[in-house]
Amino acid sequence: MKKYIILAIGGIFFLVLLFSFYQKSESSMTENRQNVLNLFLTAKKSELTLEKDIIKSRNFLSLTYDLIVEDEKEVDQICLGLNNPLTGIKNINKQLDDSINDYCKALDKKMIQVETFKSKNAILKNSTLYLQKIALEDNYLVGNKNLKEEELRNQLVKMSLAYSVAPNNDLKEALQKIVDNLLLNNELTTSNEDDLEMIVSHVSRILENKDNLDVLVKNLVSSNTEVLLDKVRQNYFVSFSKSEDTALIFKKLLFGVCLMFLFFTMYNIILLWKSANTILIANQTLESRVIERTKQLNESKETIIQQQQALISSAKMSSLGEMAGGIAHEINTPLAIIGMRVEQLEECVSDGTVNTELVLKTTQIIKNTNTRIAKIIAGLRFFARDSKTMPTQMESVSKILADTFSFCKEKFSIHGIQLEITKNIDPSIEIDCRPVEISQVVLNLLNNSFDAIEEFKEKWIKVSLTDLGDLVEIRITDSGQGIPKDLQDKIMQPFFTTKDVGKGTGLGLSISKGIIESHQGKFVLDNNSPNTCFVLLLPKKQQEKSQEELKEVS
Amino acid sequence: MSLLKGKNVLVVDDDSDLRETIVFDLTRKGCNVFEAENGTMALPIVQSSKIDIVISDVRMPNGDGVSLLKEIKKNNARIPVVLLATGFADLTESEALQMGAFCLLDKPMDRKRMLVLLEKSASLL
Repeated sequence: MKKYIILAIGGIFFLVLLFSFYQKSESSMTENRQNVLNLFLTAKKSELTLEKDIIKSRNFLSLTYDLIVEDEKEVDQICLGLNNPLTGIKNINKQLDDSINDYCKALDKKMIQVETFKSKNAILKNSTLYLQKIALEDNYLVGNKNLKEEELRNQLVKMSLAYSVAPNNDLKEALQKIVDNLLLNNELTTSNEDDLEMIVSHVSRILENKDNLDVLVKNLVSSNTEVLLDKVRQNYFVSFSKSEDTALIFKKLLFGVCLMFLFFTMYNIILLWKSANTILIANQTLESRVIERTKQLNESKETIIQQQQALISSAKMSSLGEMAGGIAHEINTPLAIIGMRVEQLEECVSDGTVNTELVLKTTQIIKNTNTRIAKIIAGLRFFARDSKTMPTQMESVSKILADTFSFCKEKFSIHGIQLEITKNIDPSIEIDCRPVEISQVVLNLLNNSFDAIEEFKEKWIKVSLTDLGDLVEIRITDSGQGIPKDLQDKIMQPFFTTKDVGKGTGLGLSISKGIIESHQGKFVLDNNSPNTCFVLLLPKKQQEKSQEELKEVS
Repeated sequence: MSLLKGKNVLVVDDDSDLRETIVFDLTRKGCNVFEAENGTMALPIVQSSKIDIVISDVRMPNGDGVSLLKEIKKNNARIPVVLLATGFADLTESEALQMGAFCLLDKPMDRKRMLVLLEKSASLL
């Protein structure tokens, strides 16, 4: 029992303990809870503040972001603006690189040059030192007299060698002096030709001053044979001629020019010779061609003459043809009269009304008409004959004019053209002529006037005759306004015509002129007349022609 | 009996001999004959003298036959006109007939034919 009591007491104690623990833990729990709550509250508070802060910072960030974006844009623009200068800078950089490269290359070259220059300088220094040495040695020798032949020669050779490589004039002068002294103080005596030659050539190279060489030559003269002297002289001349090289060049040039000139002249001569030959040949062919051509020309001339004659006759024929109508009328009318009269007489005989008076009257009329026809035929006869061979005869000018008008008055009156002849023409005015030809000329002029004024309103032709003593002047003026100045020279030319094709031959005036001139007269156009006016001046007496002229005419 | 008897006939030609020759025949036929040298002189006679028939040359100075024919045909179209030509491109017969001529005779004309034609022209009056 005790045990149980102890156990119970122990249990109760334990329970009290447990309870106290529980109590304790519960209080601590509430405490904790409150703590947690507090903590939670503070946490909440801090959360709120944090949120606020976050919002603030967000706003700030967005603002800054906007600013950054703007800045970026600006930067981009700036970059774009910078691009062009950048490329320019790049180009410049490139150029700079190139130029630097070039410069480097040039520098390299310069360096190489400098190197070579340095090496050359070194060589030069060495040679100068060597020369100085030699000079010093030679200076020592300056005072030396009567050197041995061989030594002297060696010295001279040395000198010449030194002279040829001497870098400056001072050294050259010094060397020259040394040689002068050597030559003054020593006599050069040698019999060896080769040696002598060598010495002279060496020395002459140094001694451009010919006085010194003269001294040398003198010395040599005194000590060497004549032969050697000649050699020296030759060399002397060689050296002397060196100074005349330029002259020689000029001479050569001159010679070359002369040669070229010679060649040129020779070439020209050859050319001349050739051309002369061709000219000769051409001349020969030309001659033959000229002969041929002359033949052809003569032939064509003959044909032209033939054609001209044909044309002249056709011109005559055409003027004749123009008159044919008039002539037909002239002849047919009298023919009608004769025929009718004969028939009338026959009728009167048959019906018994015939009487002597009627017969006599009729026969008289027939006779008269017959003579009329005969006259017309006589006028036509002129045209049928080549009148040139006809002798001249004294003929009344008024008769010639009247005869001519009889051929054409018909034609003119029909076309309403007034043909006026100066009244009181003295029928006793006679000229020595071939009347047919004069008539032909007048007729031709009348026909020309006809063609010219046919279409005019005012139509008249005036023919006047003036006695000028030894001469007779026939003027034929028409109502035309004269001949244009540019045609005046041409109208007398054969074949010139202003008439329509087929109407004129262009020979009328030229033939007329020829006829008047063959009568020793003049055929001119009067320019002073306001109207177209042709003037025929004919001598009253023909001067006797020589037999030759007559032959020519025939 | 000739139809020409008593008719007034005008003969126009510049050749007096031919005129006289024609007049000889016409007088024998009993015509009253008038004469003129050219067309210009003929026209007043035609107008003043009651001419029945005209015989005219074609080629004449101062008034040719053709213009005379035209003038006559203008005023007295019924008067027959006999034309005399030389046949050298003066005028053809058909041209003359077209212009109103009674006939055209070429010189030297056939006298008998001319008289027959004149009779014929008188018969038409």
